[in-house]
Amino acid sequence: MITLQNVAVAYGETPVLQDVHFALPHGAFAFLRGRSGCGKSTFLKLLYRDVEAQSGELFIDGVPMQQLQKFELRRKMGIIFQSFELIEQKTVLENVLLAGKALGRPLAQITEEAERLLARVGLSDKLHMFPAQLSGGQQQRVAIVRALLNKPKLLLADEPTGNLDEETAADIFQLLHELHEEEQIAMLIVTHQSHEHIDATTYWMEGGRIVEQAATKLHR
Amino acid sequence: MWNKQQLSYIVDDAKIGLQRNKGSVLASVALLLIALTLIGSLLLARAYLSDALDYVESQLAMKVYVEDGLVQDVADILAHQTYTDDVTIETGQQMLEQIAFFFNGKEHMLESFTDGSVPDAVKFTVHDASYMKTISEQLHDVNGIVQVVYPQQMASIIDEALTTVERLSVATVIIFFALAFGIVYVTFHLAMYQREKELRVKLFLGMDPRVVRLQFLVEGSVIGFIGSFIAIVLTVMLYNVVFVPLQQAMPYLGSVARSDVAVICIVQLVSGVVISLLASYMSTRVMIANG
Repeated sequence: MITLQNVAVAYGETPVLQDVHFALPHGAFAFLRGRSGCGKSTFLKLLYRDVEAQSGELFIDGVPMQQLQKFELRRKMGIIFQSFELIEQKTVLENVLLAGKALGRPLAQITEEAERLLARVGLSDKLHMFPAQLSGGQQQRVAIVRALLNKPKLLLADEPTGNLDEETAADIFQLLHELHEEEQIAMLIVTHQSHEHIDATTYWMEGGRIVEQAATKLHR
Repeated sequence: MWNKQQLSYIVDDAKIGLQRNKGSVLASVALLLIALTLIGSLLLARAYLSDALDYVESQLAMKVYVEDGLVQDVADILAHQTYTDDVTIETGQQMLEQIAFFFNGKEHMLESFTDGSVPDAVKFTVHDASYMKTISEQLHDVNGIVQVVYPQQMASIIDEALTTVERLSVATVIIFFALAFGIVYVTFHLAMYQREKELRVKLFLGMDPRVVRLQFLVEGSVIGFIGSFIAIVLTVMLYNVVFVPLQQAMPYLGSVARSDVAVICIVQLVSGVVISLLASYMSTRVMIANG
């Protein structure tokens, strides 16, 4: 689904990513791990073009990313942030609907879809609450639903549980994995934590390079 | 680029945006309103006075004031000129009698005129008003003629005064337009910062940056439209309250046609909306273009 060949990114004179080769197949569930400052977040930003590559080639579904406008590329993916990025003045439902409205989808259709997904993540009784009235875990669930509303092929998550306690974080990862299977969405999750209990491919980053790839296959 | 549904979302978001920034929106509307009302008043006055000036300039009568005892000689000379249509003598005494009614009950003021000597004059009309200036210059050199008066002199004085007033008004309007532009620009710049997170999220969600900007342009055009609309109402009121009675009282002096008023209203509407749109476009250009 996503292929990177010999990609490099620098902030000014400082190289952040170098010689990155990466391939994420359709329907994959993958973690991107590494020490702080190794370039994980920059790598993710590169995928949704919040930063641009200085060299190398990036493809999505075989199409060079540069051929797509940023918004066209972002419509193919959902993005989740550590800080949730919910709009404080909007209710849970309004926050989720924002995704559908951004693409000009009919209100009735996106409302039905939003309510279905919010019920799926256990928030059907919180539709008209504001983010400040929710716990961190609930806010991240809202952000997940918002990212999934437009049925993207790929979900990118940048430290989605960085602001949550361990137990809630485990729940969120479990939820993401379930949604990955239910909604048939590829997911690439940047995380510090280890998740051996989840079937996933883990990519390791070090010094701006992807140095290792390992798969965990659980037998249930 | 966008569909009907997206347009309705944009209009909804624009409404919310305008409500969130009521204070600066009102200030923008007020400044636009002042600038546009000034423009409207100026254009109405211009239309009216240009008619009045045309009237004055179209008058064919000239008058020369002459030294004592020479009035008949000068009248005879003028009567034989090719440019002259007819000639009338107006003595100082006749002139005083003509203006006497202005001093009913204040005859003592009229005496101040009669104490001094009011010169005799010869009034004459010419075939063509465009020659008046040349005729005046020739008559200045004729012995016995003290002063030459013709309507274009007055018209030129009025025109000069009008030009000065117009320049000042245009400068004032430009200042108000600049202020209005500035405040609309700042309003949207602040709105962009206030809504930075929302805009960033919308862009991450795949909204076309042109659609994001359209919301601000809609807000800008609403500000421009409200400012223009109130200015148009005030201009039409000014026309009905001041100019219509004036042209009824002095129909020969000047008039403003309803079609002129319509053109002025269109100028106000277009300039108000364009300025506001331009300011919102400029203020959102960089931030949204960077995605």
